[in-house]
Amino acid sequence: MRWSRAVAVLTVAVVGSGVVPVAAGAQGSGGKDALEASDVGITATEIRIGVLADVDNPFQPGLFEGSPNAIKAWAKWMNKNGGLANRKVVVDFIDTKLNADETRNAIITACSQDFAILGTSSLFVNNTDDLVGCEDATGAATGLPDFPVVTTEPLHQCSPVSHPINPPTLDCATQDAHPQTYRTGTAATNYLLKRFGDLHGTFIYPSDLLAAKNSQVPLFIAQQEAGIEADVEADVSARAPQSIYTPIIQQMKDAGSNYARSGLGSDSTLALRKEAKIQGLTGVDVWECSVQCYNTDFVEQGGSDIEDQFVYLGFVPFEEAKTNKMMSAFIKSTGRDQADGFGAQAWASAIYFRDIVENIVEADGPNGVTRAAVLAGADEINEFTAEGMIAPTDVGDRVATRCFALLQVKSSKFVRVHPKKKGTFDCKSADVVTLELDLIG
Amino acid sequence: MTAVMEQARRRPNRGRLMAGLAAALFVGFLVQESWAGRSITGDSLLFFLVVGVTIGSIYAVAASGLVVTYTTSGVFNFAQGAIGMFMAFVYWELKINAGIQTFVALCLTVLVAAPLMGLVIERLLMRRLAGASLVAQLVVTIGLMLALIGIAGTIWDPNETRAIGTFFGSDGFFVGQTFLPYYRLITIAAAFLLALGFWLLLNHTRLGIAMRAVVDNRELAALNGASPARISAFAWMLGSAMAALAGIFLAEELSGLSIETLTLLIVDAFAAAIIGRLRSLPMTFVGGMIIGLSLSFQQNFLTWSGRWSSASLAIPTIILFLALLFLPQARIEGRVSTAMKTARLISMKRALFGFACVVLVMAVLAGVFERPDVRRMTLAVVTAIIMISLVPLTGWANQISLAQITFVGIGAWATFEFSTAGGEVFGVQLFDPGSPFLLIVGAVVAVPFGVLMAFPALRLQGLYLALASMAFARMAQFVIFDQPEVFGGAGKRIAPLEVFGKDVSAPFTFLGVDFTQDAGFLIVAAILFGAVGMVVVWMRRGAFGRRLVAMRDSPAACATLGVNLRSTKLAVFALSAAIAGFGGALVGMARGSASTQNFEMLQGLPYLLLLVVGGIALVSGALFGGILLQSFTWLVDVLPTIKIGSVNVVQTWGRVGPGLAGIGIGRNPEGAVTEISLAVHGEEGENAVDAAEGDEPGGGDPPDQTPAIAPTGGV
Repeated sequence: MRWSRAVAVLTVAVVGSGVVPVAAGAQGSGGKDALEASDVGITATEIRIGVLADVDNPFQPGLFEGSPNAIKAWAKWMNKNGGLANRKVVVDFIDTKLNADETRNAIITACSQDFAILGTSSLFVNNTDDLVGCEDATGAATGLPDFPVVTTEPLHQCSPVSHPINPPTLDCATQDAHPQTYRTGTAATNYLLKRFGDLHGTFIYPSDLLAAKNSQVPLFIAQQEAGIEADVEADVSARAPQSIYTPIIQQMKDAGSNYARSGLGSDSTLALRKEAKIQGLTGVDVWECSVQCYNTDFVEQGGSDIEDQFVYLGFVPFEEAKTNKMMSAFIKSTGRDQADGFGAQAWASAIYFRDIVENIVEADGPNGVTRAAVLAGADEINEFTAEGMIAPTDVGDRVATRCFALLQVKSSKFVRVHPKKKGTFDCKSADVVTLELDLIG
Repeated sequence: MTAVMEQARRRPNRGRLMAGLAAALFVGFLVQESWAGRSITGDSLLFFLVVGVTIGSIYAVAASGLVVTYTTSGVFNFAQGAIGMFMAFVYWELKINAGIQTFVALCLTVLVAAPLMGLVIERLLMRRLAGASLVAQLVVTIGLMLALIGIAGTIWDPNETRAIGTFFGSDGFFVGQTFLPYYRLITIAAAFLLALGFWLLLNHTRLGIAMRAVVDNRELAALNGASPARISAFAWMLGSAMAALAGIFLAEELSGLSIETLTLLIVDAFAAAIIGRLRSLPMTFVGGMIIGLSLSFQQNFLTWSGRWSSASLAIPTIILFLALLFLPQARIEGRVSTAMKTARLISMKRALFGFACVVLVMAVLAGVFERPDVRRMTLAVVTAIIMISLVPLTGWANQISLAQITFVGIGAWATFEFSTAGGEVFGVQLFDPGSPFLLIVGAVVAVPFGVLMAFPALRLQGLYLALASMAFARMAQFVIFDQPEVFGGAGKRIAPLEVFGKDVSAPFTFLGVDFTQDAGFLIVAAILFGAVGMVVVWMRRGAFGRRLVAMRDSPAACATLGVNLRSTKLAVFALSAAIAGFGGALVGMARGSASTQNFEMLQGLPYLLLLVVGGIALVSGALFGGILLQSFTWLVDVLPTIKIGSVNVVQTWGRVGPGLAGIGIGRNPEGAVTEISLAVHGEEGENAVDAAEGDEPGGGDPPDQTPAIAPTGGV
C-alpha cells in the first residue's frame, strides 16, 4: 500500500513537471471545469492514443513503420500547439507483427489503456470482436474508436467503430449479400479518356492474395465500364521475375494497346516497364498506377524506364507541401526521409480524430470527450479534407473519394498533370460506377 | 515371402495410379475451367518459347544446386534458396554499395563468399547430421532457412529498394519479334553449361565419383583413399556457389532484392530437382524447362478468374506433385538413419498425473496472467495439440508431413461451415456457433483430406513424402482455401467455444480469484490437450502404436508378418488429420476468425520444426514446442530493448530464434525434453522409470526393438 502511494506521488511529481504547463495553458485558454478522467485512456492531464501497425516481422521488418512515425510526430506537433482537449497527447505504439493473434492482442491492450487508435496499419484485423465490444469507463461495450489507414478485411472495413481514412469501394450495407455492391469513382479514367481518346490495353491484377486481387477488381471493371477496353487481363505474382511480363508485352504489341494499368506494387510495375522497354513496346499513351507507385525508390530505381508513368493520388503530393499547411506540418514533423504514403494517411486520420474531439470540446467541454461521443461524432463528418491535405472524402459514411490528383513521372520526378493548380484535386469530372460483384465468399 | 513382398510392392502402384488419375482429372478440369481459347501463331510460339526457356533456366540453376548438394552430401537443403538470397545481397553489397567492378564482385560472391558460407554450414551443422534421421536433417535445413531470412532482414532493411542491375544492361538481340537481352542469354547458357559441367564432374572425374561414393558409404569411400570430411566440405561449397549464382540470376530479373522472393523461388524449383530424380543434372535442366515453359504458355492459353483466381500460383507445385507420383524415386539414402530411437513408454497412471499437472499449471497461469498473455498461452497449448498430430505420424510411423497446416485450416473452416453461421448443409442446420460438437466436426471433416494425403504416402517415403506433403499444402492454399465456399478471400468469423450454453471465454471468479476473459478457454484447452494426449499415449501402448513403430523400423518385415501397410498408413494419416482438424477447430475458436492467410504452407513449417526441437515422438515434446513457438514473440514484448550498435538484440532474437532452435537440433536430434530429462534424472531416472513400468498391472510395456532414450519418455 505504501509502495503504491509512493509510486503514485512520484508519478504525479514526474508527470506534473512535464505536463502541467500544457494542461494549464490549455485550461487557461478554453476550459472552465476541472479536467477529469472522462474515459479509458484519458486522465486530467493526458489523452493516450494507440497506433497499431505491422512493423517487426521476419519477411519485411519495418513494413508499415510510416504510420507510427506519423502518429508520434502528430502527437508532438499537437502538444507543441497546446495539446488536445486541454490534455497532453501520449502515443502507445503496439506492434501487430504481421500476425493475426498479435493483432488481436494489440487491440485488447489498446482497449484497456488507450482512448482511441489512429492510423491502424495491420493486415490481419480479421476479428473485430474486441474492437467493437471494447468497454468504456462505465463498463458499457461502446467500442474502441478506430481510424485506420490499411483495411484489407471487409469485417474491418465495415466495423461500426472503424472509420477508414480511405474508405473501401464496398458498400458496407451489402457486405453479407451475394453479390455485394461496390461504388467506385471513375473521374481519373474519364479525364484520361477525354485527353487521349480511345484507350484499350492491359489490366494486371496481383495474384498472391485473393483479398488483394478483389480490392482491384471493382476498380478495373469500373474503368472498363467507363470506356477503356481490355486487350489483356493478367494475374501476376509480386514474386514473378521480370521475364514473366514478356508475353504480356507481346500481347500488347499484337493488340496495338495504348493503355496499361498495374494493380501491382511499385517493384512489379517497374519490372513491367523495364520489360516493355527492352521489348521495344511503343505506342502506349497511358501507363497508369495508383498510390503504391508514389515513392522515391520507384523513380530512383526506374530512371528513364518509367518516364511518363501516370500516378493518381488522393492526397496533396509531398512535392507541393508548401501549398498546404497541413501537408507541410506533416513533412516537417515526420521528416522528409521518414514520410511516406501510409504516414500521410495516418496523419490525416489523426486530424480527423482531432476534429471530432474539438467538436465535442466545443459542444460539451473537455470532460465531454468520451469514446461514445467520439464514435457519434465520427459518423457526422462527410466532407473531410484534413485542411486540404487529402481529397474530399466521406469518411463518416465510408464512401471512397471521387476526387484525384494526377501526376506523371518526368525526368525522375513526379510532376502534376491534372488539375493544374497545385494543392488541388479534380472533383468536377467525378463520376461513380455502381457494380454488383460477388467477391466475398 | 517373395509373393508377400510382390504384393506389398504392387499395392502402392495401384495407389499411384489412382492418385495420378485424380491429379490428371483435376488438372484437366482446371484447364477446361480456365481455357482462354487464344490462338497461337509462329511468332507468339517463339516468344513464349524464349520466355519459357529463360524462366526455366533460372529454375534449372536453382534446382541444380539442390541436386549437387543432395547427390554429394545426401542432405536435401531447404535453405538453398535462403543461401542464394543471402548471397544476392552480398553481391549487391559488393557491387553497388562498395562500388566494386561487376565481374570482380561476381567472382568474390560466387567463388569466395558463397563457398565460405558452404564451408561454415558444413563444419558447424551438416557434419553433425551424418547418420541423423531424415526429419532431423530437414529440420536443421528449414531452421537454417528461417535463421538466414531473419539475419538478412536485420542486416539489410527490406524497406529500402536495392537493385543489382543486369550484365550488359539492356543490350541484346532479337529472336523473331522477341528481344533477348544478353543477361538472359547468360542465364540460359549458364544453366546449360552448369548442367553439362556438373554431369561431367560427377560422372567422369575421380573427384565426382569420390563425392558420390562418400554419400553412398562414407567408411568404404575412406578405405579407398577418399577423404570424406574434405569431400563433404567441397560439396557444400559447390552447392552454396550454385545457390549464389541462382540468387544473382534471379535478382537480375527483379526490380529490387526481396528476401521472400529470392528465398521462396527455390520451393518452386523443387519440381525441377525431382524431375531430375535428385541425381541427374541434365534431367534437372529439363525439369526447369518444363516449369518455365508451363508458366510461359499458360499465359496464352489460360485465364484465371473467379474461383480459380489464385490457381496459377500452384502450377509449379502441381508439377512437383505429379513428378513425385510418377517418377521413380532415387535411392540416395546412404547417410540417412532409418531406424529411429524409440522412447520408453510411460504408464497411463503417470501420464494422467503429468497431464493433471499441466492443467493445474495452466489454471494458475490463467489466474495470474493479463488477457493478452492468457491468449498467447492458449495458443501455445492449442498449437501443442496440433503438434501432437505429428507424434504418431512422424514420431512413431516416420511419415513426414509438412501439410498439417492444411488439416488445421480444414478444421477451422468446418467449425464455421457446419454451424448455423455457415448456413444449411444439405438443407439441415447443424450446430449452434460455439458448440463443442464442432470440435468433433473439425476432426471428422479433416479425415478425408488426411486420407487423400495418404494416397501418395502409399508410394512415397522419406524426403519424397515430405515434398509431396509440402506440395499438397501449397496446392490447398491456392485451390482449396481460396474457393468462395471455403474462405473465399475474406475471413470467417468463428464463435467462441461454449459448454452447456456457457461461453468458456467469459470472465469468472473462483475461490475469490478473478479470472480474466479467455482464462476459461485456456483451462479448457489444457484439459483438451490432456485428453488428446491421453488418447495418444494409450494408442502408443496398444497394438496400433506397436504396428506404427514396427512399420517405421522395417516395412518389409511388417509386410512379411502380415501387417497391412496400406491400411496402417491410411489409418495413421486419418488419425493425424483428425487431431490436426480438432486443433484447427480449437484454434479457430481461440482466434475468433479464420482466413486463407492463417493457413499458408510456410506457417505450418514451425509445427514440425519445433516438435522435433521438443521431441518428435513425445506428447511432452509437443507442449514444449508449442510454448517455445509462442515464446519468441512473447519475449520480444516482455524483455527490455537491448541494442548492440543499431541492432536490437531482443527483436533479432524474435526473428531468428525459431530458425536457431531448428538448427540446434543438429546437436541434439532426440529433442529438448529428452535432454532435460536425462540431465535431471540421468541413469537413475531411467532405471526408476523401468521399475515403475514394471510395477504396472498387466505386464507393463511392449518391448521395443531399440534402446530406451527417454527416462520419462512417452509423454
